[in-house]
Amino acid sequence: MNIIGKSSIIAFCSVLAACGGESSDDNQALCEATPTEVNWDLLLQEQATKLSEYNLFEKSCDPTVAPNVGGFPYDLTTGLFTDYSSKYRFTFIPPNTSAAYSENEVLDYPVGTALVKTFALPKDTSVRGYKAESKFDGENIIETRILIHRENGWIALPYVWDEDRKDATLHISGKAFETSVVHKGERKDFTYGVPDIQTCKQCHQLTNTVGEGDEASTVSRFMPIGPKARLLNRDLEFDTGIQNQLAYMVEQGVLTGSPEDLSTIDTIPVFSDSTDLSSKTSSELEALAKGYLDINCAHCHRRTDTNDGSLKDDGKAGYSGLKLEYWRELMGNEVAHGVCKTPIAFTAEGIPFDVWPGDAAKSVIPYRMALDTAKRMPEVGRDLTHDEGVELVSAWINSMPVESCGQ
Amino acid sequence: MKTSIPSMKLGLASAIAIAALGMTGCGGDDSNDSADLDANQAVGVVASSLLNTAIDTKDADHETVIPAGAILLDADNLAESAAEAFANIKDGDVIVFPAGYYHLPAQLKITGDVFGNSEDGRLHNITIMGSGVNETVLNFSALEKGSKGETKGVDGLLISDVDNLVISDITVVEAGKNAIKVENIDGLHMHHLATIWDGTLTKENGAYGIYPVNSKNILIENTFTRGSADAGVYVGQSQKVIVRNSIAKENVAGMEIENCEDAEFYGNLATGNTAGLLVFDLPIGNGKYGSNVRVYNNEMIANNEPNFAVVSDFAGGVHIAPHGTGMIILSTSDVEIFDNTITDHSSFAVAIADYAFAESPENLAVMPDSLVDAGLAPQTKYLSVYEDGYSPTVRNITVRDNDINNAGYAPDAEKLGDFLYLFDNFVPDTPEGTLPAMIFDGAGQTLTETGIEIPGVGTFPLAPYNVAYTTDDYICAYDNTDSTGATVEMGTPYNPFAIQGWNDGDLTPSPAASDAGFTCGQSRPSLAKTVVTIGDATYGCGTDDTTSPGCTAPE
Repeated sequence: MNIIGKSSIIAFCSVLAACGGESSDDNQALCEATPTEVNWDLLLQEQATKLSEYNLFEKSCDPTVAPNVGGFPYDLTTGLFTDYSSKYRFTFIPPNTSAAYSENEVLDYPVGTALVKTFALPKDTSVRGYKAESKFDGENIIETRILIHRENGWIALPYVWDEDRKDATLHISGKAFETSVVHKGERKDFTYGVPDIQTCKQCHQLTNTVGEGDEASTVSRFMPIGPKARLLNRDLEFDTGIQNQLAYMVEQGVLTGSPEDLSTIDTIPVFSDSTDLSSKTSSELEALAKGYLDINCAHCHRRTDTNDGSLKDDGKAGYSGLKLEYWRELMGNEVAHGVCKTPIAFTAEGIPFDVWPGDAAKSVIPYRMALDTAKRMPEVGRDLTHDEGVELVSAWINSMPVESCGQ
Repeated sequence: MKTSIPSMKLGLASAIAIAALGMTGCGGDDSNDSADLDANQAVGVVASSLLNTAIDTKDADHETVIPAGAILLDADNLAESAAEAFANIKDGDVIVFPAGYYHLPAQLKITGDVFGNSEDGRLHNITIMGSGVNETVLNFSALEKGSKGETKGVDGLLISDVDNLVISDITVVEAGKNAIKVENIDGLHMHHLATIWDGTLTKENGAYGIYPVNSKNILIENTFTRGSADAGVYVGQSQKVIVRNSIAKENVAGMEIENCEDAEFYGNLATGNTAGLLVFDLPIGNGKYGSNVRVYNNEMIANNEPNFAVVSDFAGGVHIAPHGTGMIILSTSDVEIFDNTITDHSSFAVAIADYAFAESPENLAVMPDSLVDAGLAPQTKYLSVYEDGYSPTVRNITVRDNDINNAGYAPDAEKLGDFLYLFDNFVPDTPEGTLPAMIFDGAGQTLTETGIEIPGVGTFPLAPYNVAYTTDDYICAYDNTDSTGATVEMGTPYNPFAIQGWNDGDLTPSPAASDAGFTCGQSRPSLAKTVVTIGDATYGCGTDDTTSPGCTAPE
């Protein structure tokens, strides 16, 4: 066991100058180190009450750095927007197992895998980064969501960080609270929602038809959203240095079947709140917007078309006809992208089409992305509008050649 | 479907008793405005008495039966108790809301198996029930206001991914969006329940009351809906659907199905709505289009409420429904309407219409490739949905043996201007400013039959998207009478049985004559009945129901 004593934490802090401020009272004691062995059996079998019981991180009070053996960080080229929170993502793959590459879907992770994502709220989005030793400075960790691949499939467990930020507690019925964030100089008040366990599945679910005719039945499959090759194919800083994430996984022996040449992967371009859109060409805007819609919308707005009406990895909103997977070419699939398509269950005067090329102001997708009401999109997972996301999708629509859409 | 042994019966008397014991957390208030009530104001009264609307589920003798082993929620701490029960739900759970009038601070949601217990990821055999439609009222108006006071309503109950789901004996009021939305269900029984927006009929009310979508094997019976700004009962993109013995009152559309296959409406009453019943097939592009719909033994009475839906640019939205509508069959094929009583509708009793009723024909027309390729004309935005299997025209519609009175006397001029113009100017014997009780627009069939290219517009969708009509495809209307026994005939401005002249490109309307051909020889085989399977039980007219008119047991 590798127990790091109080003195070494103090030393660590003094080097990084991470501790201090008004919160110096006994914070060092919050960060006890834990055994280095991830509790793989517990992940597979039970819903632990406390996050620390899984032994995922070297310091149970800090889920943003230093995973125990079997864990490594991951990041996406374009993220799913959650009220300007910061996300700290880690993959934990059990020893002697590996994930299989998938061209279009989430990597095929082995049973026992845990995807662990911690959400932190910055006071000001210009200052990001969690400092466990000075827990009330800068960012505040809110919740840690764990997706675990068990024998019957994936499950999701939401853990909310305790008041003292020493540990997080399972909250299967979720939690909502009022808070605020300063973004680009503007204070935004909002309600942050930790999803209840039922809400997790509202996004994380694909539906399939099994059997034919009268024997046909429906099977619902819980699926992760982010870790797809097209979103992972980028560099990230690991403890071994900066490296492409897929290459790192191959090198660590936890990924098989990926292409020799990673540049052949149709990768979603990097987009962040600081991406400058003004310099982008229309085809660059299309790729950025399609990537944004993929990660933010296509877990519901997806459908794998079949000839017999059966469902194959159908998203929750597959029936809407709006299908936004990145791999689906815009050319020849305009209606699936919402181009000149009327929505099936949304009405607003003066906004007739999901995408009205050349006129974002009259297009449903950016309109609903900016809504704060019942008809917002996405339906769950955000309270604030992602201004930069709306700007991106709008810029893409406005860059398209004008179409009359028969009007 | 109740499989457990009845352990408790709750009627009106026991609900009053429980309320009086203080279990509902109550108080007294004379206010008639339910939105102002809080949870402490229901003491000593039946919960539904706090509503302006009287609930009628067409089943006065119904007794609520709570199965043994049910999870009884805590009336003193209902919100938390319900949230916990919903979050922890497992196969076979029966969740029971106690008697009382409750304000819920959050949506109640189920999304299938979330604990990895089942191999198919779904829940099985779930019941969500109250203690009676008058005894338990859930008010979701608190969800309408966000932290900044903005309207951000959500569905009251949102339940998905369940095999065999029962929702019963409960009333849901003032939901911000839809009252009860259920998705991706196989085997759904909704009965003895009500959804209500009390008070003024306004577009601010929620959209759908009872809202199953993307599901199959659906039985909705003995329900009551009121005040929906869209449809009281709406079933969309589903297969095997029966809606029976239910009342829809004072909604925009009383009942509506969209893009459903194998559906029946019988024994229902729609009254005071803008439109009684809508059978719509919309160009969604999801491969699911409606067919085989039977509508019989329903009462459509005085659906003349001004349309209070949100106006939109969506061609197929419910805002297009004229006030004074009995039924509209819109671009849905294989529909049989018989033995209904349709009384007092200012616009019409029955309209059968191509999608051109909702969308201008110019937008539906397919342009020749030569023009499109040369950049001389845009191709119709609907081409991909035609390729997906959608047809804007109607086929094989039978309207027979209905009792139709007092219709078309003062049509909605704003929404039916084109029809009024056509009938006034081209159809003999139509009194000015009125419409026939039954109308068929006829243009789609005629254009399809003739292949006429509308100058500068193109052709109506033709082969391969639309094939020529055979006699099996015709629109038939026969043996429809009024209270005096006189025949009620179908009127059309574009008579597909009198197409002489059309081939010359003369698009002057050609009205229906008395021998218009709609009689179809006065007989036609009935469409197949729908049987709904929920668990081990089957339901349908002639299946479990052998007493309603026309529902004899199979021999």
